[in-house]
Amino acid sequence: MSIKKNFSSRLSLYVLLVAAGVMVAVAFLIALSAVMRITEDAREKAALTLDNTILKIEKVITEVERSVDNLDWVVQQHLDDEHFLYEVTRELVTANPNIIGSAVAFEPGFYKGRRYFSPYSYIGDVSHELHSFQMGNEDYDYPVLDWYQIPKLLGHSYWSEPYYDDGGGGQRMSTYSMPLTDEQGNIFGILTADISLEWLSNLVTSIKPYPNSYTMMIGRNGAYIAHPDSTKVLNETIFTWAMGMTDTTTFQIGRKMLAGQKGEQVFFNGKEDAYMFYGPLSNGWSVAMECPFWFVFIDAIDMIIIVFFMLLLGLLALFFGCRRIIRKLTTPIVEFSNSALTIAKGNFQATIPEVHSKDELLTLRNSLDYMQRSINSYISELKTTTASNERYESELNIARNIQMSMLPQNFPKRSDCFLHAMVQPAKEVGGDLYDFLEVGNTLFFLVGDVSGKGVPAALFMAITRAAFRFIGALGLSMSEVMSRVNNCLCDGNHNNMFVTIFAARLDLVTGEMEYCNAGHNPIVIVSPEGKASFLRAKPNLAAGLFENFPYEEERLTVAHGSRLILYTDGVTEAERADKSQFGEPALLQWAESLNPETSAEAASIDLYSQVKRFTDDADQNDDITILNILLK
Amino acid sequence: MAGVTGHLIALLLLLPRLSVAQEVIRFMPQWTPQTQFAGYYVAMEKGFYAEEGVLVIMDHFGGSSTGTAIEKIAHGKTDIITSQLVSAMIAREHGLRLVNVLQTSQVNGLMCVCRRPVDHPQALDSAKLGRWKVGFGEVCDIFCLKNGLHVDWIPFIQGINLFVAGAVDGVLCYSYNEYFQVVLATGGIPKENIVRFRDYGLDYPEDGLYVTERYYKRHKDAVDKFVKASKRGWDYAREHPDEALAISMRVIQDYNVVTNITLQKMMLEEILALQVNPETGWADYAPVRRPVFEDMNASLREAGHLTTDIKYEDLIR
Repeated sequence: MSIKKNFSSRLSLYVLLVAAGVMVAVAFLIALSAVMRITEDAREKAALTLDNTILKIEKVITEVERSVDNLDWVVQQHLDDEHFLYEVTRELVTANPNIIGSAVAFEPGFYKGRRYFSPYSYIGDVSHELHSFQMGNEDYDYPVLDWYQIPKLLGHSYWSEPYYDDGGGGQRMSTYSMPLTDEQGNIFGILTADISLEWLSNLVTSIKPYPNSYTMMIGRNGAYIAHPDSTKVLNETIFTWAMGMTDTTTFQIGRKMLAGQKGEQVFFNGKEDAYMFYGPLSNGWSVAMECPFWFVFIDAIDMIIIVFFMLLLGLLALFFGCRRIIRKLTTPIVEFSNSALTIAKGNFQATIPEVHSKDELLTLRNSLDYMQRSINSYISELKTTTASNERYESELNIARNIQMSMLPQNFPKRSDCFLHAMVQPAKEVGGDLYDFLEVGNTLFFLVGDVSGKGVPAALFMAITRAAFRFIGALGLSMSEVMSRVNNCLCDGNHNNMFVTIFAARLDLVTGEMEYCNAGHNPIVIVSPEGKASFLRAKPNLAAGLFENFPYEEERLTVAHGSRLILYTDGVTEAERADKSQFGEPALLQWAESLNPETSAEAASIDLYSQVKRFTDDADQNDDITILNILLK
Repeated sequence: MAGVTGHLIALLLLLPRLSVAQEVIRFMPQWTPQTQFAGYYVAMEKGFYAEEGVLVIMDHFGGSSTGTAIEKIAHGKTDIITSQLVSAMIAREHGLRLVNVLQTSQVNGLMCVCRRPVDHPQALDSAKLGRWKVGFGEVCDIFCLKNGLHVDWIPFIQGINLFVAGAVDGVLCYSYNEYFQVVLATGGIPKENIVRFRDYGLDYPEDGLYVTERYYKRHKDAVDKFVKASKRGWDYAREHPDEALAISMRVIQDYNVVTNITLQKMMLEEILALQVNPETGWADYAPVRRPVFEDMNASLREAGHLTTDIKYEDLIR
């Protein structure tokens, strides 16, 4: 099942996401704190490693210095014994494993007639045998060499910068030189001890506390004494390294090292940020250890991995645990859902699961139960109402049929007069009516419109129609007919209903028309020439309102070939959706557009079609009645 | 007939060999291998000497234990050397009749790097200054004489450590060599601690090619070829400094010289700059101008390095 369709999985996922966010934040803070601590520990560890390295070197340096210094008085006591001086140098080399060579070099002329006198002993780099010789000569003018000249000029002991000695040991070395002074303090010679740079370089470069870290050592002139890249030793200085770096901090590192400072510096080593730990030696040299910046994380990586997997496992356990619990909790909801679906499918008697808890699920269950009972009650009521409506509609249909049957459908079949009428109620039954009665050459006709609509109007219409049928047949004048009908309608008219009526009697031979208008719309007369006009009859008053109202009748001679068009206000007041009405001008325009030969029936149907077209299928708001007479 | 044909074929085969016969020239730069001599290394590497028809055998000055280039040419151990003009003039004073066949340097590069600021020459009075044991300090002697300075000179083979250790107040340097060594040993020297002798009217040209008069008379054609090829080498180095540096580093490594490419690169750039003639603005290998030469004569006599004037025509060819 897709997680999108599974509420418990989705809810579990949301819980998981929230929990993951919280746990990650907490884990991050813990890790940050741990990393800071571990960083500090790592820095301390690196600095400690450097200190230990310095101590190891210092131990050697001190031993060498002490060995030389201790021989000062021995040399002073045996200046007149050349062989003993050689023996002193041999003893220094053999007694101290760190010393590979030793010389007692004297000032030119110290021994009369001898510009150079310097007994020298050394252990061969290849043979490892001890050799001794007097090393000063024209080609090896030691008084101008650093190991001799600098301590002499400085007046104190001096560790020479690393050099390749081509006159003595024949290897890369550094020389500790101690001035020999007479009682007046004049320097008359230099006592030296050489140490090999090879073992020193090996010692220093073997210090590698972290992967990709390295340790190196420089002299006072910045030249490398020890470096993992042996080609740099003696050849390059820390500043040649600095000049190849984009980070100028490296120059600061070099200057601080040469200044004998101890410290650490973060810098960019061309690939990554790194720490440089550095510290001085007592002889002016400096040892440094470069550690990539990330080295501090090495010790934290295991912890971070464990925390990560524990976090992952915890989140997975949380996810599945939450899903199981949520599923258990939401099972009633699923059952409710199934019950609701069953009810929705029409089984209103479906069983709603019981709930034993007293929480929101019980409320939901009660709501569902209430809904079910309400639906059942509503359905029951709906059935009753539907049956009632069906019965009502049936009765209305019957009433409609009865009403329609009241209106004459058999129109006169004469050659001198054509008549057609139609009624279209707005509801099942309506309040409009028309009627006509042909007596010899006289045609009695009327059109009426009862106030209101529906059943009351239909009943009032039936009364009106019956009254006209009865009274109209008495041969009374139209005013008398209208008066009597009015009185009849007023009798017992407690609902104050009324009806507008236009009634007339037309002599089909002479065209004489006697008519009476009881508040009805003016009829339209279309002359034989096709000109249409409204017959402005006296309005009188709608029938049914005031008993004994004095209706007046009027007379008119209708020319043969004329057309009489009677209608109710359902025609002129037919409305569109925008409430605009068909109107009397449109009626007149339509009437004038009629072909004189158009039959009465065709004219009625055409007018109805015009009205419907105008309303554009909007709901019919009033009954429409049209009566059309064409007098030949 | 067959015999005649065979001799003719043998002769035809021999002719090209005769036409490309190369004269052997022994050449010694005056110092250990470094880019100060890059043009000559390039000429060797690119075959310019061979193209000119001379076979050059190069040997370097190997430090104090092997003797200077002037000593070597004086003893007939080499044919052509590089030397400073001042050194050549003094060598003539001592009877070594050298002639200058090419002047590469046009600007003096000698300087004194001091531990303290030197705002006027008298600041160096009574100072303890290091200078090369093998020479090169004559211009400084003239400077001291002209300014009435008394300096305690400390001879050295390599003077940087003297300076770094604080054993001297200052040390003579060449702007293309020791000065950069000091920079690389200290991380930089303030400008006010540097005295450039050319700023005090001692802009004496330095390096050039020298042979003995005798050798020049006997091998003028070969010397001219050598000079021509050497110029080509320098021109090529100027146009392709990276390649010249690489060639030089191979030579340097062959001699196991303690140095590094950073220093050698800076040295090459400075050497090429010192070869630019200030009057023309380009490296034209112009011989030293007579007024400058005469000024050098007078100064060196005043400083006691010469007892008689060196004739311009004798030395400059």
